[in-house]
Amino acid sequence: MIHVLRACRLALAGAFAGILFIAGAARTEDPAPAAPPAPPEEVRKADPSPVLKAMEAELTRSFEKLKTDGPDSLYYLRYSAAELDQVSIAAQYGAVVQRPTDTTPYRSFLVHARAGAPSLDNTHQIRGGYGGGYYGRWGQVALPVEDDLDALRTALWLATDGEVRGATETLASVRTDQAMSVKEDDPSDDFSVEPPRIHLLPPVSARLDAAAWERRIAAHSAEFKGHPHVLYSGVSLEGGSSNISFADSTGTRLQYGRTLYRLYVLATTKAEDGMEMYLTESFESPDAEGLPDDTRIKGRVDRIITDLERLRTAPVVEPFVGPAILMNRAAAVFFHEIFGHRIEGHRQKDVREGQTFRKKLGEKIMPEFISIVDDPTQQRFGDAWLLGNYLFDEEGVPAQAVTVVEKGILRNFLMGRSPIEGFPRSNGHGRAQTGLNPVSRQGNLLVRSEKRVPFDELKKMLIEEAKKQGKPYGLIFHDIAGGFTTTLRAGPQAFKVLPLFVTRVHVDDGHEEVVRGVDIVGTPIMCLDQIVATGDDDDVFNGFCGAESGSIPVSAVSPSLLVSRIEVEKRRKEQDRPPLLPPPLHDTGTGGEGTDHDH
Amino acid sequence: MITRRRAIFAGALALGACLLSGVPRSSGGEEAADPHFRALDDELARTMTRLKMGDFAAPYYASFTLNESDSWQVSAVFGAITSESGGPGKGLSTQVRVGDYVLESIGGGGGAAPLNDDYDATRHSLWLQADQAYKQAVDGLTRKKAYLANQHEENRPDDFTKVDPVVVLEEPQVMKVSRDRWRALVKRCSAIFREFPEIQQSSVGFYASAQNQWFVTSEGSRQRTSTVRQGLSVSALALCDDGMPLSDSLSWRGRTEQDLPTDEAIVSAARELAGRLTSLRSAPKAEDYTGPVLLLDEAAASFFSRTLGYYLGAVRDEGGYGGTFDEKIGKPVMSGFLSAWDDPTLSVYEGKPLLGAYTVDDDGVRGQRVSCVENGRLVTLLTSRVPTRRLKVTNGHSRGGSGGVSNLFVSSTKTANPEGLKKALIEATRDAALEYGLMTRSMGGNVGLIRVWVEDGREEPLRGGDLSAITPRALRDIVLTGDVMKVEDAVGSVVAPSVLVRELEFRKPPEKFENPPKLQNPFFEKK
Repeated sequence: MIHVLRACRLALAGAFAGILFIAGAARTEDPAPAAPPAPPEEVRKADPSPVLKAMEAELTRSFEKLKTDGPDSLYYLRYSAAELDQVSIAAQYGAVVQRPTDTTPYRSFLVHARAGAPSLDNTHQIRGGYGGGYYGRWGQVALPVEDDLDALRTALWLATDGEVRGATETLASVRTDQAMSVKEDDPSDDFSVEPPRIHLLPPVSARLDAAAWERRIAAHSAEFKGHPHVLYSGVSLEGGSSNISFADSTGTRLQYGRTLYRLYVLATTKAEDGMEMYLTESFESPDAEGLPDDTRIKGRVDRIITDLERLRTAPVVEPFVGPAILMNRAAAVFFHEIFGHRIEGHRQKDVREGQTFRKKLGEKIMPEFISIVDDPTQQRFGDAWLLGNYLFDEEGVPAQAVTVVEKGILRNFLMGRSPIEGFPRSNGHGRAQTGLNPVSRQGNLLVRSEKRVPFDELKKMLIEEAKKQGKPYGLIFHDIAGGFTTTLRAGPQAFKVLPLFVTRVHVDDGHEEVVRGVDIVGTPIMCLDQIVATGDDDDVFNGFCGAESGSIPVSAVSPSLLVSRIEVEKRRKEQDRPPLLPPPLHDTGTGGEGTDHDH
Repeated sequence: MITRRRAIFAGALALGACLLSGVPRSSGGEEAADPHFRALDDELARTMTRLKMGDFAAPYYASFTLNESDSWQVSAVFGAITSESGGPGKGLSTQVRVGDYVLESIGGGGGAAPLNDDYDATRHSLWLQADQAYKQAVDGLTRKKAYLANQHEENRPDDFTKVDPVVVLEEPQVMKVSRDRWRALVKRCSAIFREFPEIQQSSVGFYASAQNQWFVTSEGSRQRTSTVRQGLSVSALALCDDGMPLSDSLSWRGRTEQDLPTDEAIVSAARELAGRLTSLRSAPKAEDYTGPVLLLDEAAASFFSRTLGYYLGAVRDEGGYGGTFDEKIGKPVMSGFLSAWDDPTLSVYEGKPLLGAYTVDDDGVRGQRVSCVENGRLVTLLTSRVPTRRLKVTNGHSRGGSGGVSNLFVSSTKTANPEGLKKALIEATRDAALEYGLMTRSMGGNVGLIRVWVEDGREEPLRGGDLSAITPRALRDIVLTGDVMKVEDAVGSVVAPSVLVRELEFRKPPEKFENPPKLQNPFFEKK
């Protein structure tokens, strides 16, 4: 069932561990920062683009003319458009397999229409029906890439008609459902009222020297050629600019852009028993100049090669319950999965959701030395770019820092414009992939600790904890691919996290060895309670998080965590053998089993 | 692997016809000089001599394909470009067969290929693909043998036909396209719809592509083939006042720009399309109808494609999935004055490109002209290297692994000119005691149906009207054909005359449609 896993599957990012060592002591001793000053109501650093002008004209005309006096009238109309200008370069085994084409930018457009009133509209969940109310029927529409107002408006006009029609039709179903179903637990409105904003910035563009990057990427991917244990490998660079235009019927007009490049390395191997394993690295930067130099990239590629060989020959761990350290980036993913998704506001009123933390506001849900802030206004942590930063969310609300946990106590939820009881306003977390309708999502989830010890100390504590529990060893999770979590009632309120690189530390002599073949499983409330202490080594995980509003860039920052009990189970294993023949480049004429052919 | 009927068309579209415009040349020197073959050959040799797992059989056949493509598309709506995309790409694919020609299992894989044909990277990728494909085939063969052990089957045909190696070395082609011309033309053409307020949606698109393929098999076939394509399409949709959508389109396809009409001809055809759709909005609605129908040009081609072409491919019917004429060989399938054949070796007919042409089919076998229907009687089907109970030999018509059409020709000895055809329609209508007969130039989109009144021969366009499900049975109801064989695009090409069918059924359009938009297109509102 798709729904069970829909909540989140965090895509993996590369491992920075050990390199981007953040001098984070001062930072983490800070109290959770107050919300930054809201942007001024009106910023005009550029004229409206032709796209925004066309949107404004068609939105005004449509809203005025399609609005009626009755209770079922259109009451809110929103246009959002994105112009994407992206390149992609990829190399395998020393050769370029993909290079940028002379493709023009791509423009897409989404209409969002609401009929009824903020207290009850067409987006209201229809209980027992399919899905949660009406979320558009046209979906994303392609816009002309030329600045021709008439052609732009023609495209907007067609999409608007379909959406408004659909909104009114769905409202009728919502009203029927209201009459037929029991009273809802949460009587909150369907849409929060937010002040209009005008924020117009000049367009952004991103440039890179594609020919030079092709050579560099090919050269890095050629490193893998020397290592027969690496099967598939690839190095890629993707990115560019996206320019957003936004207009709604309350008068909000936004025009802003962002640029991002991401360098990505992936390699796989296969153990003799058939288990497939991979490791990845990624580097993010808002401009090509900020990407790492060749020495640093080579360092990571070399480490992947070494670690893959260690993994390939590592022993397989048996199911285990005991103490573990989740190293900084692994801990960051862990918080994103098991905690972050459960404080997303809209999940607190969806009747299909587990609502783990809904009634726990003001209660202690984790040790008091932990505080958590989601702060999409923060662009960097140390010198690392935070992928989850943004200026406005996809509902036109400015990004804001939200303290969700203060000294172990749950204080707030991440809110889009779908209110829940006690939280009538958005706090700028209504996010979506271009072309999808927003729900509340994470941005930069920052975990802060007041019980910080150096990593060596944390490792000693791990050994002590294992001894105390009578365990022969403790585990250290160095790197995590991502994970998934079920927030729906229909499934268990559990999570699964997929480690990429794990070691175990033996209590008898303290020696550390690489192991493979385990996944972390658990339930969120119990797990958060098991955190004993943290390191002082905060680091950043950058990745893409997938949920109902699509795949969006997020970051999570955390120090390493010592957890008194963690449960690991055996990983699903592929059954076919490693390749029968050696790689062609390493073929000495032996290997394989040889055969006679008679044709 | 069970091949299904659907695969024929999917394969034909995806792989394109391996059509060649150059004259095949075969010389050892040239082949040796082509570095593209080297990595394929070397890894193929290793796969065939050393890839083997335990007690399982080694591959008895393997093939590697390197595909090089380049493409460019541009589209416009309402006078403005909406997208321009394309670019070069390369891909590798692998097929490994385990067992023997009698009983086998197939594995396959694919992936990206180095753009610069790097030898090491190409072999590395082929190695991983072949390894996976072999394991997949071994696994499949074990299951297949276990399955067959529980089945009783008489005269089970072999799984694969052995053929002699085919060597074809054509000149690789590059995409030659006047981007400025087509960019300007799609804009100009799409801007025509600014003159027609009743056209709700429209778009104009141009595409060009070139594809070169290197193919080697363990049987000794080695082929370098090349396909180029260019085409332009115009589509438009009008809404009637009652909400009924009317959509129509134009398309031109060819190999090079020379195959496409002039700018002026394209623009005037687009304007004519817009005018025709606009005036059709106020035409009477079609009614339920059972009676004689005259299928003109494009409609006739579409008719033959659906009732004849679709069934001419020989398909191994392992899954109980019917739909071939296999059992009809030797029996009449069409009216006695009709004959049909399929000819992939012809690339032009009376100056018009035949896009179904190819030198070698998707199995790497040379295409042949095959006479399928002679004087109404089915002679044989179009076959691939997968034999059926009745047809054991390939005639070079593999489209994605099963038999399928390329360029389908239908000829007739009972013909009439356009006036004669119309007269025959009126006579047939009168014989059926109907007030009017129908003729159509299109098989969909609510457009193209014309009512011909018996009393005075008056022609009246209708909107709506769906041709009910047609079966090959209708081929035997053809009473007369036109006297000109016209080329139309279908799956490949169809070359056929217009046809008068004694009886077909049309359904009237539904009576419920969504209302047209409340607001007018802003462009026309301000005028």
